[in-house]
Amino acid sequence: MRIAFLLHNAYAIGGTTRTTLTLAGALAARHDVELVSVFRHRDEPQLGRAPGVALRALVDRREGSADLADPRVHQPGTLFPRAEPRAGQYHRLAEERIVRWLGETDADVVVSARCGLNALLARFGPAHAVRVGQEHLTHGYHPHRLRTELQDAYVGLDALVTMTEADARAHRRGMWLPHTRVLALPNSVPEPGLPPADGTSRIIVAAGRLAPVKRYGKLVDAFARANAACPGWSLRIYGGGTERDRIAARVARHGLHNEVLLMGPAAPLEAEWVKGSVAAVSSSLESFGMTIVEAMRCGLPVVSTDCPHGPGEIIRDGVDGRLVPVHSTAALGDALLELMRDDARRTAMGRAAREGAAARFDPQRVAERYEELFAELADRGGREPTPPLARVRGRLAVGRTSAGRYARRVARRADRSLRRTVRRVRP
Amino acid sequence: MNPLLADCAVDDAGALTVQVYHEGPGAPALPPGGTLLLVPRKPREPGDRLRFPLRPAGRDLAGRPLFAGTRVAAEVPAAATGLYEGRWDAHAAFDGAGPRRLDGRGLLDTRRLIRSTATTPLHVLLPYRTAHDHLTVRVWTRRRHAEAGAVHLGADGRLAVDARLLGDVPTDAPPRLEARCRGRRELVHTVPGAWREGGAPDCRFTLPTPALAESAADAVWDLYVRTGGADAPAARLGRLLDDVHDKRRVLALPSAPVPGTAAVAEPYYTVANDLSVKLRPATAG
Repeated sequence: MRIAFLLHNAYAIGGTTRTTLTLAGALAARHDVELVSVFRHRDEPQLGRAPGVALRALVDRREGSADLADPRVHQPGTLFPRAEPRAGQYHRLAEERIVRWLGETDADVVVSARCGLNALLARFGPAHAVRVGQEHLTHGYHPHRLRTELQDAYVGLDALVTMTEADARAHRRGMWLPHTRVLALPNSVPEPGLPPADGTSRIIVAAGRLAPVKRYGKLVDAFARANAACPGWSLRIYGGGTERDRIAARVARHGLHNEVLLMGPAAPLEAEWVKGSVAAVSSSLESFGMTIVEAMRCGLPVVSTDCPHGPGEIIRDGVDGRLVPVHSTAALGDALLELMRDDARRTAMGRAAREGAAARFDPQRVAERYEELFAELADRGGREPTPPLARVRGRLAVGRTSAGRYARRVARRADRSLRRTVRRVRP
Repeated sequence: MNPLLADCAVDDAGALTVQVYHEGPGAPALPPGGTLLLVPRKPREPGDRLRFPLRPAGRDLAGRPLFAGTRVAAEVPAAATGLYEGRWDAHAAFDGAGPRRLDGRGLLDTRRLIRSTATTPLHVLLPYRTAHDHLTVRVWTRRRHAEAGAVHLGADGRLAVDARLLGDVPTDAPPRLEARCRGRRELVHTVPGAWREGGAPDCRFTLPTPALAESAADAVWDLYVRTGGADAPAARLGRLLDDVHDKRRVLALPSAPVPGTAAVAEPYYTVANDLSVKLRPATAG
């Protein structure tokens, strides 16, 4: 099979690029795989190349390139969804190159790796090819306007792949896609290149951007609680970001500067995971939870908030980690403490994490599931005609979801304001 | 030309294995007979460099078998002759070509460096990735060392430090902490310490920063531990038994005003990971 991946920028660092490289590399063992990057801003891809995978770019953004001199880079595009966060980068030239490539490619399967590109693939993808869109974020993350634009386009996709079952359900509920297979296929993580953790270290590891959504302040609070009951452990937080000073202040307030280390950004992370014996996730939202799988592949049990969407589908509570309520710092601290105190349980869970993650998230395994999907869609043959009133029915589906969400938000606000009033009125 | 990457691992004895390979698919095989070169940033003698033979590697760090020619590896013993304290840049040279700087973006398995004790004299070889993505090895060699544990600075201006003495330090006499004023050798403050519950070599000190501020309020004080008489050797206090090559941001210790003075005390780890206390006027910085 000839398989082509269309992605925003294969030359930059990013979760989508990383996971696409992994998947493309795994598929290349049995197929002819090509990576098509819309943009190229440097000579060599920062994350390296996937073995056996051809790489090409459609628009050269390197300094002094002929493309930058093209007047069309100053003309806004008209085809890429306007409400897509990256819309500003998709000028006329980029759009024309994408549409031309889609018209010329002889690939049997085209996979696009972000929602705006899915829309272009659905509309302009070659008739002979299987068209598969991937959603690396989540349906709920998109604003109403974008969901409307995607709804109009997505009816032309053969399949829409989400990272989690929860997000597949959200797409099925929130969109009307009568002929599109909507299914979840997880990201894959390769086997680490060094021996796994053995559970003997007394270090808890967390890794991610230091952003509010990761709630590392809460993790520091939870660790403080566990550390009071079981001293001798330390917490390492890897990553950089805007929250650094605030997290450092929280560490200082607890007087935990000897125990909590803000390690800064690190890559590759495998070498850092294996220094720990428990991984911790305190997020309020994880569209997948790639770091959870990485930690598990390195032999760490993961203690995580049961936030949408990924953790609950990756971690088997009590088997290879713990899931705790999103808003309970105490529960997070207690779950950490449980694994800090119990060497045997920690080691057993770490082993289960490693074995389970290898079985479910190994690139070969995930690539096989993609192959099954491609074969099934190719067998289905010709595309069904678009049903009558597709546009109207699609708009209704999106409108219904947005209305529901809006109503819930209004109710939540009313509830909060009522509680505030009650608090004020009560002496 | 494909970058030359290196995966490194430090074993329990502190020896460093460096595996060299080409990045990316379709890279040319690495010839046997290459050399790993370590070049000091601050050579004691001009032209100082150490050579270690690169031999074909059969397995990667995870123990997975490799195709012949994909990797070559060299071993650097912890106490390699001629290896002195400092930073050593790593290069690889193959027949007929000049040495090339090794890329530091590979796997650096330094977990064995995180430990509570070590054999002495102390030799620490810590491979790290520089700001420019190169591979450099930070080396510490100490005949005696006082490993700093928890550090707390109280509101009363007292700096409490836990330490473990390693190497050539007698433990039959009570330990003392010496604060030496940098640049003014005549200024030394000494406070007695105590062995901790478990006894030697674990000790604890409490250093009153107001006393330091009285003699020099705008100065850096380096901390040493000494047991026995005034002629007994002193061990520098610092934190070397881990994998953090630069602690200045990772292990930021809280600062506090020194009571009764206009100074602020700022305990910190130096670029060499030694522990010092900076006293500065409260208004500055």
